[in-house]
Amino acid sequence: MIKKDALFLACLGAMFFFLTACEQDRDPCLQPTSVPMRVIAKRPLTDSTFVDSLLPDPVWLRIDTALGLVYPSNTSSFSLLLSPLTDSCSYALMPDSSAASSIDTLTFYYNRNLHFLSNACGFTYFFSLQRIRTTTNNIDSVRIINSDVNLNASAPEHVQIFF
Amino acid sequence: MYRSFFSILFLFVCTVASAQVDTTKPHSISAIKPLQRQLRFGIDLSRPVMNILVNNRHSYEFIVDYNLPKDLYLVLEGGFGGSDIDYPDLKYTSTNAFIKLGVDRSMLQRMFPEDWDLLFVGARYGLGFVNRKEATFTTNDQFWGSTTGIVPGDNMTAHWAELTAGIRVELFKGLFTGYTIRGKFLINQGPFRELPPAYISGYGKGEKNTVFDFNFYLQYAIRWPSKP
Repeated sequence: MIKKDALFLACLGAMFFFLTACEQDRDPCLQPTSVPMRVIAKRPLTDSTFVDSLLPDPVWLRIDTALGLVYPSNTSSFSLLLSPLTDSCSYALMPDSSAASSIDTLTFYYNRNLHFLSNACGFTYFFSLQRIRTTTNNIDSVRIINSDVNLNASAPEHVQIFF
Repeated sequence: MYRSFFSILFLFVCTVASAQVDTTKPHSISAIKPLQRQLRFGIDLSRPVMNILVNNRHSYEFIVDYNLPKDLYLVLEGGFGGSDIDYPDLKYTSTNAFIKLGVDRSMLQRMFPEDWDLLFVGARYGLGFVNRKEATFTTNDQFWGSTTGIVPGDNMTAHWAELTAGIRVELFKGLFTGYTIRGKFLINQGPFRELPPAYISGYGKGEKNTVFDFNFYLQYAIRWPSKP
């Protein structure tokens, strides 16, 4: 091989080296780290058929604080966060906050599973729903459809609430 | 993975295409054999520089190769290193040592018996022994509050395969420089799904199944006459 060609290739190699050297200390986290539980409100159309129930002015309140999740009017799908601190958490649901409607309390019981996402994103918790306890002021019943609460966005919703 | 594969393929094609220029020269003589055997020792100069530029990891890599008949080189590589992750939500350290064994094949015909310049392609099998220390983590949840915890330390073994290409140029008698580009493919991905080490010396980022890497070597060769 001719020396000048070799030196050219060596320079090319040096260029690649410096490109490699420009690596970041930490890659950016490009995926969600919050794991939402998807809840959908349903109402009966006939005895055996249910349709989505649009709640007029829904608000979900953390039962132990004043923190709440306010949703737009006429919403039937909700994303709730389960507590990574304990094996259960409670929400109060006001279907129509503008009319001061009666409130239902839902308590979700679950198992927490620590899950490693990546060095860029760190750890998060996945959940395995065990059961749900609810009052029945407005709500008729609740049903767990998919107990695995994780980052699989294409999985079916986790909980159905029947009014 | 496909992007890495095509990047490597592109570099291989460029490197081999560059070699074609010289092999068309009229003084290319086939079957010129070296009159000596050669054992070459080297150090990867890029690693100490990278240790300075990227401050959360370190690596030191060495190489030995020996010329075999039919333009083959038996290559043994080794080294050690580690990483030190100190993010707000994740802290741990890892250390590892590695060894690689493989062959390089020259893609150039010798111009004369003392011509040891080299353009090559090759393959490696890599074996790394990784020790990850206890990790502390914090999950950030703005609605419910953060949690902290500890993940116990672990020992892992990494197996990987490599495709390599590169050049070596004899600057002075016995003193070589050159580079090797590498595509690396982790064979046993299972142990590295749960908190893999951020960096495995000899391989690269522990959470990636395919890694593209580069080494810049300074090597010294010792030679002795070959038996006729």
